[in-house]
This record gives sequence, C-alpha cells and structure tokens, in this order.
Amino acid sequence: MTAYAIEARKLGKRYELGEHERYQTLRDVLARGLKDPVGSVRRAFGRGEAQSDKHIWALRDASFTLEPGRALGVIGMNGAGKTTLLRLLTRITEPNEGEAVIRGRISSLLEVGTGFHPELTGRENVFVNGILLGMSRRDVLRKMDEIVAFSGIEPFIDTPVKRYSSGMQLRLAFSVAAHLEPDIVLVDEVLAVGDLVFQERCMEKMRQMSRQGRTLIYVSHNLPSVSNLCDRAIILDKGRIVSDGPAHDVVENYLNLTLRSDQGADRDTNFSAAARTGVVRLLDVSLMQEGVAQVQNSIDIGKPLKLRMTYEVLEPGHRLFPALHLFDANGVAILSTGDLDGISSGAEPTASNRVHEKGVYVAECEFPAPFFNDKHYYVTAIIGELPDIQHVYLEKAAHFQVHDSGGMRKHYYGDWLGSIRPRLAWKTWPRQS
Amino acid sequence: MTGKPNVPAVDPVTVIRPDRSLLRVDMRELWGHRDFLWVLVWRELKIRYKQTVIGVAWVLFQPLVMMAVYSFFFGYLARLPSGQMPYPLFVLSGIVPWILISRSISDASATLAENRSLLTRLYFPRLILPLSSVVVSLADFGVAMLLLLGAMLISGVMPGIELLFLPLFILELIVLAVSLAILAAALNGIYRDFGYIVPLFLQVWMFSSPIIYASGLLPAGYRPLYAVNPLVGILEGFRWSLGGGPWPNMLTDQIACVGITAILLCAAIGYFRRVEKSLVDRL
Repeated sequence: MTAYAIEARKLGKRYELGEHERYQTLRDVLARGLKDPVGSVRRAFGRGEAQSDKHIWALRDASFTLEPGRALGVIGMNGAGKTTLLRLLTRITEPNEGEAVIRGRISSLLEVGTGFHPELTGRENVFVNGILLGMSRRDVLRKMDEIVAFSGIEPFIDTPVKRYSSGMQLRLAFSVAAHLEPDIVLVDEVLAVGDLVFQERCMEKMRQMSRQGRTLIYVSHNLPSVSNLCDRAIILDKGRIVSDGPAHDVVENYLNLTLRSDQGADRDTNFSAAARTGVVRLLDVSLMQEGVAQVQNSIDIGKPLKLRMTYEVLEPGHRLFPALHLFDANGVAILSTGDLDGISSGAEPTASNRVHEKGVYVAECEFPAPFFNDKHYYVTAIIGELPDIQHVYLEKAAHFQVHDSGGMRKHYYGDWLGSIRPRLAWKTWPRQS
Repeated sequence: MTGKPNVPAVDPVTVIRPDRSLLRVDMRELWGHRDFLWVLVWRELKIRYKQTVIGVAWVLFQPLVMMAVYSFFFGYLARLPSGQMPYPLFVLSGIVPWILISRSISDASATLAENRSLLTRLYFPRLILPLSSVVVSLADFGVAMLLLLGAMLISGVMPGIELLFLPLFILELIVLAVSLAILAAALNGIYRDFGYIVPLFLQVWMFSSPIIYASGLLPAGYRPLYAVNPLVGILEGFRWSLGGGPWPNMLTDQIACVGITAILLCAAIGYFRRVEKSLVDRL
C-alpha cells in the first residue's frame, strides 16, 4: 500500500476580527497598563490566546488525502480559504485545529524570486534564492550553469539585478524554481503573474512535473487549466470543502453552483434585467427539440436543437440582430453566431435584422445533429445593433446537458474528445500508384 | 516510480498540527536550516560591503571614532580612572563587546519587518532571523577584536594567564546578545513603535554599564544592584582577562551574569514562540 503524500484531517484556521489590529503599539499598551496593570501582565504572558467572539474560520474541517504523483485542483471564490490551505500546508502559518501529514519535500511556485536583492548580481541571487528555497549549497553550485542557461540571460548574469527588466528577473527566478526537486509542488495562481509566454512556461513546467511523478496541488480561478492539469479537484466554499471528485465533474459542479447562485428565483425578471438600453427587452430563451420545449434542459444528442429567443422591441427604428455565444462547462467559448444575413452581405434584409417596428419577435437558431458532445453547455443571449451596440447581453441565459444515447457512437464507448462533436465529411480511398 | 529524479528512499515526513509548547526549540530542525542562516548572513554582508565604498574599513571606523571621542572627553578632560590600562585602551575594550550587543539588538528589532517577504512566502524556523542578526554582528565583532588586540600590542599591554578565560566571557556575551536579539525581534513583531525606543534603551544601558568608566567608580553600596546588569560581569571579565589585575566581585558578578542571562534567554524564547504563532497573520 502506498502512503498518501498529503493527509489532512479536520484542518482549521481561525482569524480574529475587529479589535486585534495588524500591529499594536507600545504606546497604547502602556496607556492600558496604567489603567489595568494586573490584567495587562496576565494578557502579555497568558499561554492560550483568549477566544474572542469576533473571529472567522478561514478554513474548517478540511479533510482530504492525496496519493503521490496525483494532481489536485483547488477551486473556490475569493476568500473561500484556498490560500489559507496552501499556507497551512507549507507551514507558513499554523493551524488552530486538526493536523496534516506530509510525506516528501514540499515547495511552491509562489515562492518565485523570494529573497532577491537588487544590489546582488544575477548569479549571487540565484545562489541566495536557491538556498532559501531549500537547495543545499553544493546543489546550487552544481546546478548553477544549468540554471543560468535555462534562464536565457547569460550575458547579464554578473550584472546587479537592479538593472534587469522585470521580465528578466522573473525568468531568472522561475529558472531557480524550476530546478528545485520537490516531491510535492504547490501552485497558487501562477496565471495571474507574468506575460503569456511566462504563463505558458509555468503550465508546461507543471505538466512536466506531473509527468515526472511529482504530487501537485494547483489553486486557480482558471477552470479550464484545472480540468486540464488535474486528476481530482476540490471546491472550497466559506472555508469548507463542499465537493471532492474527478476534476471534470467538480469543475462542472462548481459552474452549476455559481450558476444557481447567479440566477434569481424569478427567471422573468432576470431576462428583462439584462436590457442595457430601453430599446428592447428579452422575454424568454428556450430550447426546442422536435417542436417541444425542453424545460428540463436535457437534450438528446441525436436530434437537432433549436435555441429560441423571444424579445420585445420597445423603441422602433433600430436595426437589431439576435446573436448568441456558446460556452462549454469550463467557460471556454465554443462559437458565436448571429442572424446577420443582409447586414454584412448587403442582401435583402430578413425579418430579424431590418429596422424593427414595435412588437414581439421570435428568433430561432438551429443546431444540426450531431453537433454537441455529451457535455454541459451555456448560452449567452445577445441582441445587438451594428456597429457595436449591445442592447441585451445575458450570460447563462440558458444551459443544457446533452445526453449521448449511444446511437451516434458505433463501437467506441470512451470519452469523446472535444467541446463539440459534429459529423464532418470524410473520404478515404486507396491511392493509385 | 519511473522518472522520479533522485528522491531519497525515505521521504521526510512532516506533521502539521497546532503547537502549544513554548520553550521547546527543535534544535534538529534549526541545524537542518544552517545553510539558510548562512546564506542570510552572506547576503547581508555582501550587500553591506557593496553599498559602502570603504567596506571593511567602516567596521573599524566606528569603534575608533568612539574611542577617540570618549578618550578626549572622559579620559583627557574628565580624567576618569582606568585601572591597569591606559584610558583609550580601556574604553576600546568596553566598546568592542558593546558593539556586538547594540548591533545585535538594533538589527534584530528590524529583522522581521525587513524580511516580510520571506516570512509570508517560506517556512523556516523563525528564530533564524534574530540569530542571523547576531551572526552578522559577530563578523563585525571579530574584526573589532583584531583591532583591540592590535591596539594592545601597540600600547605594550601584554595579557597574562587570564587570557585563557576570554573565550568564556565571549560565550557569555554571545548568549546575552542572542537572548536580547530574540526578545527585540519578538517585541517589534508585536509593537510597531518598539523600534523608536531601542536607541534610547541602548543609550541608557550603555551608561549603566562599565564601558566608559570603571565599575570601581560606583559607591560600594550600589555594587550588588549594579551587578544585576548582566553586562557588568561580562565587561569586567573581558578587561580582567585582557589586562589582569584584581577583580574583587568576580564570583557574585559571574553568578548574577549567568543567572540573569539564562532567565533572559528562556523568557525571550518563550515570548518569541508565542509571537511567532500569530506573526504571519499580523503582517
């Protein structure tokens, strides 16, 4: 049996609120001491912190295990306890309850550049940084050339870091971090720093570490990268783990959770609230299959789907067009489409995009079958006016789950790769020699 | 597992749980972080010598100027007695150990704030920060000691057999510096304005210690109270081991010094451990 790389049992971290400021001043303490000398001395040397009523559990009852070599994604809103969890696991701060057992050397990519000093040269900073991040003196010296080469700034390596651009500093720092050999890697929002090239490098490095059999904990708001990189994921909500399972399922679950909290109980008010101007308001967005509205949001993969938008024009005289954006459950945009015939081509305008009179209009967009994969999809409804006015813009105006009846698959039963699954024209023939 | 690069056969196991002990210091962990301490010191020294043009000379400059000023006012004008040694040498032999104490305290009181980015991003035994302040000051102290020995050679004061005890007093000095550095770091971690009173405290303490005057100057009745200052035993010991001569209060001075220093060390560690639990959450 392999031992877990990380085993957390009922971890909890409490932060005091209110009176406890970030710092106290001696002046205040002396003033208080004169008023209540006995109490002050007792407070200063008291062992246990007094449990104040005003506290918040940044994390509580967090229990999970992680096998060596696996990648765990951590998602949740801001303030849900993600960073607190990482801080506890890296021992930067101590838990108030529970415990965690960690097997292996742990290090995190959020430490990039720790201890860099502007007066020191690049080489000297690599030395300091490497040791601070846990390399031995011998290791740093042995890997120095490799680190310098990887950073790609060899000509400047003996120049003080204060003369580097921020990009050069980041490259050097990342180069050091990339040469650590931890068993467990923690990553917190790398995608929030640096340019695109750097972010892609970080992602590639993480994939590589994962392939090498290192254990990975990845915290991010970027849901596609979580389901891309991780086997498993957990959702943190108000300091508690509310979901734990395969990354894809958890990411979808998370989107459903946020969708539910986004939408009010009354859908009608929601539709009309999406109006940005007084020109037009959305009345309804519905899903039709074989002429029947699919109120359960459950779609058969083998039948065409019509997305129907109903809207009311309140102010006449605008050249309006309906449009929609389609997203998958990871928030990746799949396509955008609109009833633009006649506006861009100069052909005869159709009913939906010529100058609208007052009244109620219905617009339908038909997706053929097969087109979708067996996934969850989200629709953003738009009513626009050229060149770039959006009178209505409603995210998650509709969502639906496509079910694979199996009839489209022939003999393959595994996951079908891709956000969509249209049937394209294929031809295969033997080449005449 | 294939492709897993040189991972030791037995992975280190870390258990994270609320720690309620106050005086327990994990010496093995501290030892495991010796490279960490070493590189902090290396960085500090490197930066300092890059920023000042005169570099090492600066370390000699300060005690020399202090010696000159005190010699003029207290030795030449006020004609303070200085026992076995000429006054300039007498005052220098007080200044050199004092520099270790005062540097350690003033550096340590700023170290938590200066190393904020380390504290919020890395785990390491937090005690390393005040310890590194002392080690950096020890480098200065070492150079100043050479200056002191050179000055003795020049003025022809030859130490006797008492010199063998010098390492003992240096050890006491270092332990005292460590205790106070830890305490100062912890206090500054809690009280933002602690840094303002450090210079005042150091000045008062300097005049309460036999640095620019000999302890014999005090009325005999005050002497026991005076010895509560742990620096008294150390400075007397310093001068005794360098210049010889009588040291009537040797036993009481030493008992007081060792006892007070031990109490200070325990109190400092206990207080620091208490502060470090909430330190990062305050930063």
